[in-house]
Amino acid sequence: MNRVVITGMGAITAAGPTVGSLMDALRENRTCIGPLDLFPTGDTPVQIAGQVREIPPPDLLEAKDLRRASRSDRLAAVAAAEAMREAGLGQNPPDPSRFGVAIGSSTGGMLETESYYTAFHAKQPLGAYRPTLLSATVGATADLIASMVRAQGRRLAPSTACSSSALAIAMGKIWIQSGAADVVIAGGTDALCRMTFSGFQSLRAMSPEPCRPFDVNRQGLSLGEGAGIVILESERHAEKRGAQPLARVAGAGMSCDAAHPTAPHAESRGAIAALSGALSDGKIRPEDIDYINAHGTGTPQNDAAEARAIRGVLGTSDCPVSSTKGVCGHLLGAAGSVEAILSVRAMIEGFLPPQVGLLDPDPECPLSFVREPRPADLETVVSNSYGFGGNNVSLALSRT
Amino acid sequence: MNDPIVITGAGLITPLGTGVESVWGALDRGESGVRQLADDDPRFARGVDPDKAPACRFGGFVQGFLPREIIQSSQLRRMDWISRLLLGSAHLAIEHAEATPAIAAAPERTAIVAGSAFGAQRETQEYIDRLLSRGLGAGQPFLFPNLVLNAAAGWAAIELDIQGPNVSVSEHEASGETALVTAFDLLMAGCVDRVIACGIDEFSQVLLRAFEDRHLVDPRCMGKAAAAAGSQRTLIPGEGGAALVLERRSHARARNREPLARLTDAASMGTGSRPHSFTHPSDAAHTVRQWLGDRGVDLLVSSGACGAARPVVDQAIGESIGNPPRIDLGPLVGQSPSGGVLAAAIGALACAKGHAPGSPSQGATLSRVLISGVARGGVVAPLLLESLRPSSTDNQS
Repeated sequence: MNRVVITGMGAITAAGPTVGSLMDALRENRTCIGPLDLFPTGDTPVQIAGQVREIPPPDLLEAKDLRRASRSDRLAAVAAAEAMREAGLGQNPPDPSRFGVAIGSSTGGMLETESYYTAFHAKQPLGAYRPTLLSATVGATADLIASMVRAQGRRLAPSTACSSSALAIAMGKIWIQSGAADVVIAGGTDALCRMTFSGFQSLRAMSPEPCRPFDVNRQGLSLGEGAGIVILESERHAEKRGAQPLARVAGAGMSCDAAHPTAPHAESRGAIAALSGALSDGKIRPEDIDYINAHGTGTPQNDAAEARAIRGVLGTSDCPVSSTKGVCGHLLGAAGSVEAILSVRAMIEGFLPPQVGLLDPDPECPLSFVREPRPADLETVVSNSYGFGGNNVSLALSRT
Repeated sequence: MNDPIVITGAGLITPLGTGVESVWGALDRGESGVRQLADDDPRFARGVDPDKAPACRFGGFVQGFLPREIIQSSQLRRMDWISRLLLGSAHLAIEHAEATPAIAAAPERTAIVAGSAFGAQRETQEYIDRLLSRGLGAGQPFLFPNLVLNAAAGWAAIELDIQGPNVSVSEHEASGETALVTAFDLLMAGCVDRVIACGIDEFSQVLLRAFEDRHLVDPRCMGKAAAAAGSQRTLIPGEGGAALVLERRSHARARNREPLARLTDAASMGTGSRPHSFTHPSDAAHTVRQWLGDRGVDLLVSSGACGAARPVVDQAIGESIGNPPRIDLGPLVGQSPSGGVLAAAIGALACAKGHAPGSPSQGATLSRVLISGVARGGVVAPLLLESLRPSSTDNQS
């Protein structure tokens, strides 16, 4: 079975348009969550988000496609361009028929769809909204990225809420392992939009201040936006073209709670299954995990359920854990890939990413939290992602 | 392959009827499920469709589906229309496959994969209408979780206690076929023993208006007279739910279940066509031809989704593979972007029966069926089914 390595990574978040800017924010233990002005928020209690302030025009994307692209598409295109550059695939493109694309999202072009709805609601002519309506569906981003990087291999646009991009990476791994693809550009993207901003507030799940996952005084989650894209490659293909692997996707576990549309299972059944599945898939012992990037949204139920799952599988509280959502907020469909990327980068740079905003850990979550960035020799890390519908994905990533 | 992936059950909720035999019978008789919705349609009864105002009254509306007869859940009132379609079709498929005990014995080894282009459109429209008129603080906590594309698959997992991977995919008009491709990938990789693969879509007023704005919709959907012959206004929206149970043949044998057909191959892939356009006929035909290699095809089944462009693409694919008999489901059930699962179900039933619906003379010669998944965005998602009947010419390894 082909081993799967990561040879390039790209991310755009509220911290900036590169992986480096995200890592800088983590090293500085700094939140980038601030006032939201992408759309009017009225008098809602929450007025902040991890908004991307500037989306640079992505190289590789044709002007015609850029005009039709949604905000979510443009975020993905920026991250994809960075990942392609790091992987060195621009100069040395893979066989298009062996080059797959798996890009997940929870809401796709919803921000633009809302503009269409606004015009529809006001009985205005709809013609002006035609171009971006073509990017409304979740599948549109994968098509755009495929065109941008000239990939004609396998194609997938998973939408499993907040585990979408982690699931995209898991499916990319399956394609490469099975020989269906040599290279896969995988990850996820999501833009802020009225629907999610309003929806999470209606669930009383959002914090008026930057989120503080696992803190006893937390008030909920902070929404963010962004994209995280990785280049997955068979180890043999990377070797053949002289590419330097950044990390190996050692294992992936996927499960469903099958219990409640939004709340985690009372005994963390699905989260345990996903984490155990990733370890089993990668033939990794629990004691070999050096760091866990928690899903850690900042809602009491999620935090406690994840803590139970980690303790349940690892059998100890010694493993360093942090949720990095305090930096840029919860990126929904992009959260899994962005957090996997920063976990890999932390492994390469030899430091533990801190839990920004954690002051007083919740005793219901007895874990070893990383309060400050600190040097560490990391060989194997895990990134957890959970979503509405009881979706759970855990990715185990290791040094090559 | 020593232990091929097979289809062991189908659950169909369609404009031609609900249940495998109803749908096959209607197809065999050459009926169409496209119709004008009457005032006394059961669809308007309390508890059938939680939203009683369909976007229009002419289209491919499901028939014979009374959710309460299939879904025994106190949560039914919280499920939107497409969640009901998904759960109902999945339930019927599991029953048809006689797979309930096998799933209960190992719920973590069964996956759900659902394909839908747009998800819960009508609820999304309702939700956003409310935000636009009353502000962002007017969100509804019971409605919001149903708006994510994977909400329906989540409800199905809860109600059926299916704890393996729960994947929802969206690939425009090939959303159904892509769900089946993903199911195939999960089974091939050994992630699970069994997958319930579904295709679900509904249509909304906004989407209908958007298509009308592009002069694609059949005028009858807008309450007008039929278009003249040759018009490009051929899009008749369709809704429905279809589900298939896929598993290894050894698992089917272990419970003495005779498969309907073998899913020999499946792939969702790019063709090089532009990202926002429907896949060009020659690109689609070339890619499918290459993917098939020297494998012959006896029947081509198409969901027919994507208006006037689709028959042209299907014709190009058909010509590139020797012009096998073709079934276009578009005029029969309306155009549903996730209709690929229904197309695959018809293909699997044709394999099991040895003939296409309405064509009993094909007899034992029907060996391979191609489902021609094609979508905008330069994507094709072909599926190849093979008959497992003793008289067919396949290699029954």
